Amino acid sequence: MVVMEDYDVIVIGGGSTGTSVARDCAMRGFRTILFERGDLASGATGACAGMISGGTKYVLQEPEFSEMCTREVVTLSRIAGHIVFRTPIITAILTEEEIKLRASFVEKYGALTEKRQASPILILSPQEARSLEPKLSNNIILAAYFDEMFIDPFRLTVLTALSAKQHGAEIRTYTEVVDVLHRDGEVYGVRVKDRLTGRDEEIRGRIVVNAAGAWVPEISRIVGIKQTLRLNKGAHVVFDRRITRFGIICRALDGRTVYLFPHETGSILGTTAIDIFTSPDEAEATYDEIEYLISSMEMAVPSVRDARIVRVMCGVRPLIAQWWVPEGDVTRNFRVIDHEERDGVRGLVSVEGGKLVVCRAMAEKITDLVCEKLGREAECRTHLEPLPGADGKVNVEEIASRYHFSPHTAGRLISRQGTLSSIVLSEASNERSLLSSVCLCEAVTEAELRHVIRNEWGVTLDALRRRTRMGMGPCQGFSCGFKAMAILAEERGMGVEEAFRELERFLAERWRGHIVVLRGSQLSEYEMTQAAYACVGSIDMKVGEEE
Amino acid sequence: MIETEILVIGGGVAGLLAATKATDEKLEVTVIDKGSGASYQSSGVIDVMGCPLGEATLKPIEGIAQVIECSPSHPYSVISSERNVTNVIKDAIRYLTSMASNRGVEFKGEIERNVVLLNTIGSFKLTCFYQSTMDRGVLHKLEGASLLVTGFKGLVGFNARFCSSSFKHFASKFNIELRKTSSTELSLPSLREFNLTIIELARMMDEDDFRKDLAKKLETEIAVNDVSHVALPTLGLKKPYENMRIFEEETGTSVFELVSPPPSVPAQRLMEALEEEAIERGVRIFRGYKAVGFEGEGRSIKSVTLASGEKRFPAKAKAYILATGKFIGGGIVEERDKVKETVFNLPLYDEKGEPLKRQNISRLLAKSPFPREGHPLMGCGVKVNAQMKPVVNDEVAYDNLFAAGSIISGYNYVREKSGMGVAAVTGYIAGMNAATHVEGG
Ligand SMILES: Cc1cc2nc3c(=O)[nH]c(=O)nc-3n(C[C@H](O)[C@H](O)[C@H](O)COP(=O)(O)OP(=O)(O)OC[C@H]3O[C@@H](n4cnc5c(N)ncnc54)[C@H](O)[C@@H]3O)c2cc1C
Ligand SMILES: Cc1cc2nc3c(=O)[nH]c(=O)nc-3n(C[C@H](O)[C@H](O)[C@H](O)COP(=O)(O)OP(=O)(O)OC[C@H]3O[C@@H](n4cnc5c(N)ncnc54)[C@H](O)[C@@H]3O)c2cc1C
Repeated sequence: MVVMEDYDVIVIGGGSTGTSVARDCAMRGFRTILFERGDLASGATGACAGMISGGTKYVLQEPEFSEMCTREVVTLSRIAGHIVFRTPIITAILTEEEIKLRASFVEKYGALTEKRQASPILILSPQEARSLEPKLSNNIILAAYFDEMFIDPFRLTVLTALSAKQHGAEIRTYTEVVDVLHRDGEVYGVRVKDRLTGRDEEIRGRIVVNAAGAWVPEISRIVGIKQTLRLNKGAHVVFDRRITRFGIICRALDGRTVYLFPHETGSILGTTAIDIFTSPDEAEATYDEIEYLISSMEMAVPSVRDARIVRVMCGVRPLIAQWWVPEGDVTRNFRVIDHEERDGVRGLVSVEGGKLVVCRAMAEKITDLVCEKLGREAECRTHLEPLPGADGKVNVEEIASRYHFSPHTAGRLISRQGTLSSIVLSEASNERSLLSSVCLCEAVTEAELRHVIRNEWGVTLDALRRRTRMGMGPCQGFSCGFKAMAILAEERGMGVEEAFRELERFLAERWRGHIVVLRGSQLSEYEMTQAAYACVGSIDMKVGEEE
Repeated sequence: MIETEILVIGGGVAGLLAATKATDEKLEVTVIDKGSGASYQSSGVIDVMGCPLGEATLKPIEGIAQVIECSPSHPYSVISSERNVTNVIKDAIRYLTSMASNRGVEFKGEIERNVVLLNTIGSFKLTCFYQSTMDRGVLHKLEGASLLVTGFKGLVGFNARFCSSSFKHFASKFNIELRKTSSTELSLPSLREFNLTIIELARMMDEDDFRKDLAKKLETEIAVNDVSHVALPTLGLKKPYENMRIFEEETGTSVFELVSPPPSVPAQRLMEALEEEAIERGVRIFRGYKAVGFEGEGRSIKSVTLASGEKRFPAKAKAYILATGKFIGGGIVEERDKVKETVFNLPLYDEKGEPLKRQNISRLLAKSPFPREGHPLMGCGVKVNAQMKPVVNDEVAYDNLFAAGSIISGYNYVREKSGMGVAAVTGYIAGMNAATHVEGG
């Protein structure tokens, strides 16, 4: 076993929280290393809607938290401008009693819109609403218009990790913390397993930050600490195209709220909230959850029933353990736990609750505590410095004409890479074939794939998908999977067998998100993928053993 | 209004074969098709039986026998109750390949043996009958070869470098040793610099100037490499054999075309040939018409309703052949938990011949995407008797209705590698029987 040198801070978990902690710690001068057992943003972060709101739901019960969210929306728009976008939203009101319910919300939330740099809330008649959004049902009796900001959660996490790296942090993906090293009430490191090579390592550090989201209790259990979270599963249904121009919010059949948001090239419908009591690894979206979402949204947008579903995604919220209240009333605020204070275990800090929108604020609070513990005074600067690619505006037309390729493809690239786009394209001036779109659904060029393999921990096809959206469109990896496999194999020096195994894993992951929602016209895409990979590619045939 | 003696719904391999076979009896046959289906997406080679019961075999006849023994609902088993199935498959495929051959698309292969071909993904494909452009690349003929895998700069979906190492790897799995594999990526000024598709490349190859340039390029490549065989992602759409000959003469090597996933040039070549030949033999083909319903009287279909845009009109025939394919073709759709046959609303059956219940479709899928046993969903379709007449509860549904191709239940072509083979033989039989039905009055 290899024993690694010492670090000041070891971060467990590469979601929005963990990467933000690594960035803050590194920026404040700590020698930092982060371990993520899968890919960056492979937990709740990658399953979330990416809405960075002023806390629509919490404005009444938790005004301070709502203020914090509002501040963070502004901060994220500043430090990650190219991955933040504004979506206009219509709340469709279907029943009289809802009008009363929503009235005080409109007033309070309205007061925050200006701070959030959003447009004011407008009340619309059903006719006005339908003229703006013809897909709305005739049954709505009133509507409200406002807007919210959204962020690409995958890019946010990757860019945060990149920034951490630029400040000296080490980021290790596909590396699982399998043990927490501790003696005499003190944590002094972790043992990790590289999931791609199977290699074990021990790493020592002065403080371990447990930012493993829903898996926080599992890490704590290793050192004998009982920590409880309210684990709450949520699912989203992803559609192949923008069903509505506006985001739509309406009441669900059980009185909760559901939404249909335009999202990248498609739409997402969410979300459910179901408490779970088994391992978060087991969480999967069920058929009933999907029906619940569709049947609810159908009341406001009837055509959602027949829209083409490409997949479903599911994540587990690591909520603070408040019980005897419905999920909707549980705080979305977070709590930083000093285990020395709470359990008498030194060298371990964890975090409970929170949201994507406040990930930077969560990290700031955690890093403040780390500073205190390690006796260092350093100011937080994470809200000041832009993330990689967010340090300026890029002109789509200019890039498209400089490299002579389509403004659409250029635009998609810039929406992910911002000012780094010209670096991504640098080799394409000489090697024009790098401008070929490997993924047609999402316009991902070979140049971009090679860039993320080399610079953004793009070690698996799944990782390429998260960084570029490759394989997220209607065909779900049918047309890009094998092309990207060859590129990945080449860049990483993978053997042929390893490459095909990787392709199988990628298609299996896509399949998992597919199986419960496969229906309607998506079945022809299914037959294509099945036949192309099995009939033509023989991916299902093992040769050598029996031949 | 269309009036014809036989109406074929669906112009894939199954429909075109059925229609042409029926015109042999001097009947008036009309094919209608709403667009295109799986046949155009296939790789243009004819599988007969590659993996009976999920295990690969190099001997299709043995595979068929195994299937007949173990899967009574398989179309081959159903046919075997009335005919010698191997012979009729042979006849059907001979019929299909001679149709293609009349239009210049040549096939090779024999029913006694499956062969292994290489594909543009970098893996292999087991099949039975293949276009002769692929002949020099049949794996067992490549023992000791020095293979140059030739890519094109800007061509999407074909990575010659990767294929050159993976071909060596897969060949060794089949105990074939390639003496050497190498790769090159040609860049020709007349080609698009990026986003070049294989179909565009194939069209370019049909042009004299381009193929001359290409032949020269290949020759210089071969001069520096010690090469016996050259693999290309395509040999062109219309003149592949001419190209093959020119390249072979110019380079002194053996040249072949790889199999590819969609879009596939050989599939397009085959389908265009079948369609032209069908028309040549008197079949009328109308594309852009969709069958949306029918009128029946007792056990007889009276007419089928066609739609073109907003227009609706009936098509009347003495016999009807349903060859609408599966999900890609559109013969089967799923709506609110019900998998349905789209034209005659025939009940559907599963691979074992049991009626399909209304159920959440995910119950017909396996947990992993490519299990060896396949997804039950792919085995669903209409049930037919040995005359290819759809049956409901073991009774013939309509006396003048026949079915052919992947609309039929009882087999899973994805798992089994039998797609075109079943389409051909069921189309052949349906065509003959529909003709007999009409002639018999
Ligand atoms: C359906 C849904 C919708 C949501 N929508 C929004 C929204 O619109 N806006 C918003 O602000 N918030 C939203 N949230 C909440 C938000 O997604 C989460 O609060 C946030 O992403 C949690 O981030 P995290 O980093 O704490 O957890 P995670 O993203 O789950 O990260 C934890 C990471 O730890 C890793 N890990 C676990 N065990 C180990 C180990 N032993 N070793 C190494 N690594 C380990 C996991 O692989 C995982 O990647 C939503 C959540 C869900 C489920
Ligand atoms: C990617 C892929 C690769 C494959 N590779 C191979 C291979 O290498 N070898 C092999 O043997 N098999 C292969 N197959 C399988 C093979 O292609 C199919 O099994 C076979 O082509 C089915 O033929 P068909 O005529 O029954 O259906 P289809 O070709 O699907 O034809 C059905 C036709 O009916 C039309 N239609 C449907 N409904 C209506 C309607 N209501 N009105 C009018 N027209 C209608 C459709 O437009 C379509 O043209 C492959 C399949 C795919 C998808």
